[in-house]
Amino acid sequence: MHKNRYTAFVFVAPILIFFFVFLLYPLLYTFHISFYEWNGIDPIKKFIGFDNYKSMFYDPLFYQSLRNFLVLCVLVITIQMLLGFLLAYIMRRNSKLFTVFKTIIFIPVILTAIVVSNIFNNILAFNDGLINTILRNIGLDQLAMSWTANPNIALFSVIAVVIWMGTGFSMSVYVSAMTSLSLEVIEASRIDGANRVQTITRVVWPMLRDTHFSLTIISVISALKIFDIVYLLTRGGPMHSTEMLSTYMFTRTFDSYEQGFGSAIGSFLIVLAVVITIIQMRLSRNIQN
Amino acid sequence: MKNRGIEVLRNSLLLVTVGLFSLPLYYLLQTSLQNKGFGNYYNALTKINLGQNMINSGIVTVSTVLLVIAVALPAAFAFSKITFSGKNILFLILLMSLAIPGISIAVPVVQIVKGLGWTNNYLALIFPYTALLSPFALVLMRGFMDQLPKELLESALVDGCNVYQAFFRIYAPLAKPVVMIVTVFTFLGSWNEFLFAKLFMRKESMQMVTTIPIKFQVNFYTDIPGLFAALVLIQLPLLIIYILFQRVFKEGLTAGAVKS
Repeated sequence: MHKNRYTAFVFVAPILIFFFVFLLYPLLYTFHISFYEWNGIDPIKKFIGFDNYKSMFYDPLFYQSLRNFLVLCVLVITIQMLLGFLLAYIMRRNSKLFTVFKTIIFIPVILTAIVVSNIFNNILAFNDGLINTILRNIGLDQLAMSWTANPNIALFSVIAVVIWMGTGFSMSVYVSAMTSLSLEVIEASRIDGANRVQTITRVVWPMLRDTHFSLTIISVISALKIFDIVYLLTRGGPMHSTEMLSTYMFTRTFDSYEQGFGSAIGSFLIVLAVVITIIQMRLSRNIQN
Repeated sequence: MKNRGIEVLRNSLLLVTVGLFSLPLYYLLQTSLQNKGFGNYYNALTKINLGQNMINSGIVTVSTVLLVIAVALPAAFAFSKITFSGKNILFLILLMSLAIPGISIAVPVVQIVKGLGWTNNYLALIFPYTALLSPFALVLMRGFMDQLPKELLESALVDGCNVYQAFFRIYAPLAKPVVMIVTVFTFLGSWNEFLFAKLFMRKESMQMVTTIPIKFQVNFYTDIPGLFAALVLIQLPLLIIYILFQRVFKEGLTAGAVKS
């Protein structure tokens, strides 16, 4: 390998400049602001120590956002991975029809949040939304609900939309993992007398351990980053029933101008992100050994 | 006979699932053609000036893609082929930023953008997007560079090239496949970004496609087909790229999932 500090620096400097100015500096600055009371406009910030963190840890809405986030995280990741796995397994053989199916399921992955939110706000609307219209037409009026306006249901509607947007991703990752697996293994286990269910649960699923692992990590990180689709669908409402840490931070920071308090939530998010990354690195080292 | 039953059950479950997944897409297209048919699309482009917003998003996205490649490819080369102290720790720090949510750094970035006087300026989005999207590009590109033999560099140096020439003439051209993958993913990330676009582009003529429909929602309160036609247009560049580069997408997904 070539050794030269100066040459290496020339190659690495551009990405580092962007990293320092637009990521690391803002990150540290977020921690800094979290110790102040500040509306984001005044030139003067008031130092208040850990007060923002104290009010954050006494704030029931903070805990509600955290709980909503955990519910979303667990449900989305579980359903998305199981569904993606099953779809990839069922469509493991190449055929024209399966290619069309896979394309349809993948398209939501690339869609823009504003488009998705508009489609679903119309589908889920109480009065003339597509779902309720269908339900009423087949005589199931009592099942027609206010999908995004009822605090008991809204979170699950949001979760369903997020699953719609993400299943294509996990399916595609499983598809490529399965092609490298070789279908012979599956056939061989069949010949050895394993039935369909056993083949899936005892042969194919365990062989994809690494894929399950990376998909889980990717999904946790993207759940942590989730903002636009929730914000555009429900703004965290009704009554904070779909509030995530990110939407809660946005409202407190940019709508009620409590940038110090918002930055405390931001710092909490950053710490979560770093912890997740460290866990991921530890675990992947263990897997490799 | 038992197998046959399972197959029927499996196929009908598959059909129902695909049906449920395609329903919202069908609904989008079908609604966008109601009332005035393709006239809705014509109106979206002429009456509400969607074209300007698409141009804005296009400028920001193309610049971001070029800048991400320009900063990530040389760095990937250095991390893969040059030995220098602090290399591993530096790479780890860059990796950490993959998990940082954009919202958590929004307050300081607003201050930076204001300080530079970049509000309503494309640079307000291009620079932060590059910072947020280049770490993932770096991971993909380094993985690719690691597979290229280091002997190429050694023999180039023996032949009298310097390291820069070796990078530009040998490694950069060979990296074309991974540059394609990075292009597709950066394009998606930049075109779809919402938060910074909302915070920094206040002036109507400077707004991105991800934020403009908020205004449309008000204008189109009674004209849902018109709104939906605009939504399809917003999505069109991504769909074209997806159809053209389906293979690249798949390779990128696999590489991304394995590497991270």
